[in-house]
Amino acid sequence: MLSVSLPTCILELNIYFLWYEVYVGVMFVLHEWSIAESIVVSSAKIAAEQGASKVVKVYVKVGELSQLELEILKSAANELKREYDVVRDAEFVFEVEEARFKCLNCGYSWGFSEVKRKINEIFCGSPDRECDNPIHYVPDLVNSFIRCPKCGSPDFEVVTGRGVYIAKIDFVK
Amino acid sequence: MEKYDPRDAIIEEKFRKIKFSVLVGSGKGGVGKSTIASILALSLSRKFSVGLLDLDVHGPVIPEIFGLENVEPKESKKGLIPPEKYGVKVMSLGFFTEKEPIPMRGNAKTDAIKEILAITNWGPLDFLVVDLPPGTGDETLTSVKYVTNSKGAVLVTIPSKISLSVVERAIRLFRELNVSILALINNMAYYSLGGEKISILGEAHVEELARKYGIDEVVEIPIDPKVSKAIESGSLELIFQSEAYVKTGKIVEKLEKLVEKQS
Repeated sequence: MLSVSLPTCILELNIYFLWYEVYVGVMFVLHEWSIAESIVVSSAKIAAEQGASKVVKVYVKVGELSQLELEILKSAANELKREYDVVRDAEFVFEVEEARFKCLNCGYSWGFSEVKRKINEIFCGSPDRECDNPIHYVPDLVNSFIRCPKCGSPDFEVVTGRGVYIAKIDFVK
Repeated sequence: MEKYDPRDAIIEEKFRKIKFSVLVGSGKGGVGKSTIASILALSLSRKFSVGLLDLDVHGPVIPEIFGLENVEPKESKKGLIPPEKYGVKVMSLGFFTEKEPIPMRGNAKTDAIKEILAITNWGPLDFLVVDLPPGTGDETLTSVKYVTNSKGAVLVTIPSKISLSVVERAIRLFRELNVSILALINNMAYYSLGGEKISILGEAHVEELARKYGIDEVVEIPIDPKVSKAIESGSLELIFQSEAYVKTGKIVEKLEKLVEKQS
């Protein structure tokens, strides 16, 4: 016999969705941590190569296609920098670089917003819902899942906003 | 300052924890590279910690060989944890694309390989076996550049004149890139029927080619239905009963000595 009352059912469903959100959230967070580690390790290495005694500021561009969360990248970098003396006091500045694509078949050019809903639909079941997807890990796989919005060709290139790079480092010798 | 790719430093750091990388290549497609790479990884895993990296960007098949088609790598703060089966840690672009085509051009291929190298959390390994795609282009060049630890190549051919001609180009490229060639495998060299060796795919002179380039190990592997049965039945452990496994033992011994020398 079904013994769960309707309000309990709704409560259980809510808890289930809450856990789901937390689970998906954690999945996103962890990838940001590994990217943040590469930024911190690289900054320390560049500083050593340049003979710097202290890194002051690191400017990082984050390609929109990688769908990385800037706030998480920042807090992860601030946590990880403590392991390296030379970057311990550095400020990490993250900025999104807009993703642009160009079709190599018809020449059409478009931005990430034009295909974002399609990505959500493929991987998250709804154009309005964001979730974990392969492009988040390997942005170059975008050609496997997205087509040129004008001619439908898979033969397009990512012109800007693919992944992460360090644009500038301020340091003292 | 020029823009700096943070993946470079982290790849280098990750490879510091891997004692030796074995690049399994050919130049030629369809000669059994992925199967040979899998057999080598399985053989090595009996005694060592081993990773198997599938860098065939357009046609990754290692997940299928290992029966890991529906598995996804798990995340950790140090990167993606490669799924493990039969004691081998496996990473492949195939985990991310299922059966979708992967239509990548040059730069995107280089980026995808760097991304996989940067985000995979292998942990400490004795060996990383790298299954290279056919050709001597982006994938091979990128792998040789970024696999920064001690490394050697195992090249695979079949006994046909055409295959040998392509493999010779690969031999020359690896020599120019200063990657030592540990062995040349003559795969599908013959079929044993009632004790008689029947050459089906040709009788090209693989030993001669090896001598020409000073490769001291040539391993002849017959066509062995046990290998395809092991893969198709999803019981990869059956490979340990195959002649391919026995014959590659010589290469495994050689690799063992190389790692012992390091420690």
